[in-house]
Amino acid sequence: MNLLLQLLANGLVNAALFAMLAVGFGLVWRSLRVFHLAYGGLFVISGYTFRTLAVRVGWPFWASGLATVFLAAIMGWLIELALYRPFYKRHAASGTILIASMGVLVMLENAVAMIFGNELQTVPRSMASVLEFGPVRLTSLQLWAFGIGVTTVSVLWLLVRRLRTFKALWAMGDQPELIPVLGLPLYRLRAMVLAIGTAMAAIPACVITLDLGIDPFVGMSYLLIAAVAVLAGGVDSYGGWVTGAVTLAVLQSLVVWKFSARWMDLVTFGLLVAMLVFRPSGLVAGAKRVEEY
Amino acid sequence: MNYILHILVMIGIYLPLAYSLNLAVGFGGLLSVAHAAFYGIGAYAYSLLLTGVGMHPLIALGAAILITAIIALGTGTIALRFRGDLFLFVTLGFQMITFVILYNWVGLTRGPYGIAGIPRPVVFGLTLRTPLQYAVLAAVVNALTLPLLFALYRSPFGKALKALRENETAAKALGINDKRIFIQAFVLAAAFAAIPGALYASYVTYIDPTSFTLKESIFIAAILLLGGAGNRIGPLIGVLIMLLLPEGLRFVGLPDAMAHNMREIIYGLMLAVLMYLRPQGIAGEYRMG
Amino acid sequence: MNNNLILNNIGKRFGDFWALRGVRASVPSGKITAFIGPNGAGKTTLLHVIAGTLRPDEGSIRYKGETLSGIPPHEVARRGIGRQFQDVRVFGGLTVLDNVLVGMIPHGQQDAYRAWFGTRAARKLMRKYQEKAEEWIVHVGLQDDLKRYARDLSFGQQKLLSMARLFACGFELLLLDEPTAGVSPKMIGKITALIREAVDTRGVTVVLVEHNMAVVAELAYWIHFLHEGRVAFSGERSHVLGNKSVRQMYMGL
Repeated sequence: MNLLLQLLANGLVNAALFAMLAVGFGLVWRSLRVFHLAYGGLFVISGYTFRTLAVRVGWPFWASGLATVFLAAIMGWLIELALYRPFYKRHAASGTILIASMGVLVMLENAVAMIFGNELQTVPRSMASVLEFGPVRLTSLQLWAFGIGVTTVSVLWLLVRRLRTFKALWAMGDQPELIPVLGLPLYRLRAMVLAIGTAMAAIPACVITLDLGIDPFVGMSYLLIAAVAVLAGGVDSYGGWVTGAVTLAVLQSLVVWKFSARWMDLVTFGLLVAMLVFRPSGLVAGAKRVEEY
Repeated sequence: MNYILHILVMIGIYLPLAYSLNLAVGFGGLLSVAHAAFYGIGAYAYSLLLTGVGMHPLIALGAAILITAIIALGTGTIALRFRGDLFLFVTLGFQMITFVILYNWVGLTRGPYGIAGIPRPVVFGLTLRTPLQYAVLAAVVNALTLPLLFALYRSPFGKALKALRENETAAKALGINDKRIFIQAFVLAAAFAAIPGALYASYVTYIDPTSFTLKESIFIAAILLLGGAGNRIGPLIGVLIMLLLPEGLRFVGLPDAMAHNMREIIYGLMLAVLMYLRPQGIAGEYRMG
Repeated sequence: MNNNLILNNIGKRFGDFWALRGVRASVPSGKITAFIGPNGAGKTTLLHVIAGTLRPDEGSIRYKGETLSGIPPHEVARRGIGRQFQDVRVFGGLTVLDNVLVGMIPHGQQDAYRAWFGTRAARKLMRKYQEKAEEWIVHVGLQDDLKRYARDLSFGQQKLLSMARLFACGFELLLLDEPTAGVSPKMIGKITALIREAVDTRGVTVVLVEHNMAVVAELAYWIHFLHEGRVAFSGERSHVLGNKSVRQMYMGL
């Protein structure tokens, strides 16, 4: 029982991280209707940026984190300029964009590997203090991660609900042609979405780098977590993305409890397939349907 | 010389992989990243039946093809409820699930330890050991397999499949049964991937799950995206480029670890640029979407 | 005279919006029945419902005595109902010849295994289909474009191709969605001639959705006016064309 509680607590911490990842990915999907695969590469670059700033340059963690998030936003903007916008202008098919962004992901990962090497790089730090809540023990880092995650996701949710800009962004996803008609700056909005989305990936990247370390090829795994959370939770709803992330994180913990950590990926993808098969109603809007007339 | 023969064998393994995926992707318009899973299921089924049960290689091959086809039937039934990006994600899910099972169900597949000691085929009493013999075997396998695929390409089935790819609604309005035709294409593509699976397993005599990952699936799909799909020449060009280019880079003289990363960067760059400039690939007939 | 297609109280809604409601009509066989009306009146939705792409929420459709509503589109086609789309939808990546050929092949012959186990008789049959397909392509005037990819044809040529495709398959009932939209007057003449020929010489039944009132006036035997999802007016051609106020109000002529 105690083990279960511990694992659930770990799961909740992961949920906060996954939620940030999911929200960033979902935001780009909802507004631009692209699956931002380069997200994985930008996650990795963010992790290395944080590490370089914290270890090589020697800034305190909080400063490195903030700088990384800021730089990530800029990188997101650059990716929009260099990758998604040219394809958008060509009215490329979504499959084409998907593959191109996959190519960019591969490029980014390997460029990082060439510069920093293929092995895991960690951030030397003192052992995080451990706090006990009854049978559950969590490190201060985990608590920080949870706190930051909940705060960021909630703040963004409020912004999404309230700000008109976001309503415009959602409309952009549904009817992109309308945006210029309504006098809204399409390209600036797109760039903003990519900036925010990438920044949302940078935060968990910093936390995970600090906690576990970073290597050039984890981008794909975290990208897939984000994608599954979004697809399984409900492609077009912010609440769905968060729900998907939480479900995924908690399910993973339960699987570790009942079976073993080895089967975690089975959970992730089993969830994806199961949701696609049994709950397509959440996925119909914006998704490619079989019946097209 | 052995080096060249080795390349020829690898070409002989990747050609059926590319041509079989071409049926689903190029002719059917169903971009899938599960092909390495079927390749792997074929390789594992063959190897397990050969080493575990002591089956005759040809029978093991037949059984491996059948097992792969059955699994593909199940997967396809689920995946084909969708099209486009969602279909892709289901195939992605399936690929990952297959890898997890191959890696973790140690009782069945021996997990990360892999299967060793896969016997080389024996033809008329001669055990095929040398690279030359293997290259000949690969050529024979291709000579037997590819014409079957080409026959599918130009048959009424192939035409109906292309019609569905071009415009599913219009094709259905002509009476073409989308469910039936698509599932046949998906299953056949998978079944034909089992053959190079067996060939590969018996060539390297040791297999483990790391040869059949998502990365491998993407590699095979990239062959088609680069070389072209929907016809007979595209996959050939794709295979030649994707297999020979890295070898060519070897001679440029980068330190080994960096060479690998460089190859990948070029590969990623090629994909991105090609999708921008020429989404139908170098010699393809079908362009995505 | 037979009424082989009967629409009985058809209703179709999307959320709270009823695109069609209480649509009742009989389509006499061997004649041209036109559905006209303003944009958004539900004409294309009606075609979708007949063709099986959409399921009606109310009512039923019967064709040749059997219920049609609720069966999937490819089954509807196999019952002898062909369909031409407003945006044509030829198979761009197939040649003109293959466009016509692919629908002609009997559906039993389309399975994969036939590629390997075809009999000589089956191959002879395929040659016959090819000849027939070529005849139809010549008939609509596309003989110079046989080997071209359909995506390289002009819009008007694609319309002709889609008609050849339908005729070659031998459909007894054709659903035509604005067949003369977006083409030159000369092409309109060609298309209407082909439609008229199909009806007069081969007894094909046609359900025509059109905006071009001159074409409707020329071709239609029976006219239904759809407005906001309901049939506001129905009449036989002499009735409609002979009545000045009806003509003006519903057809603007």
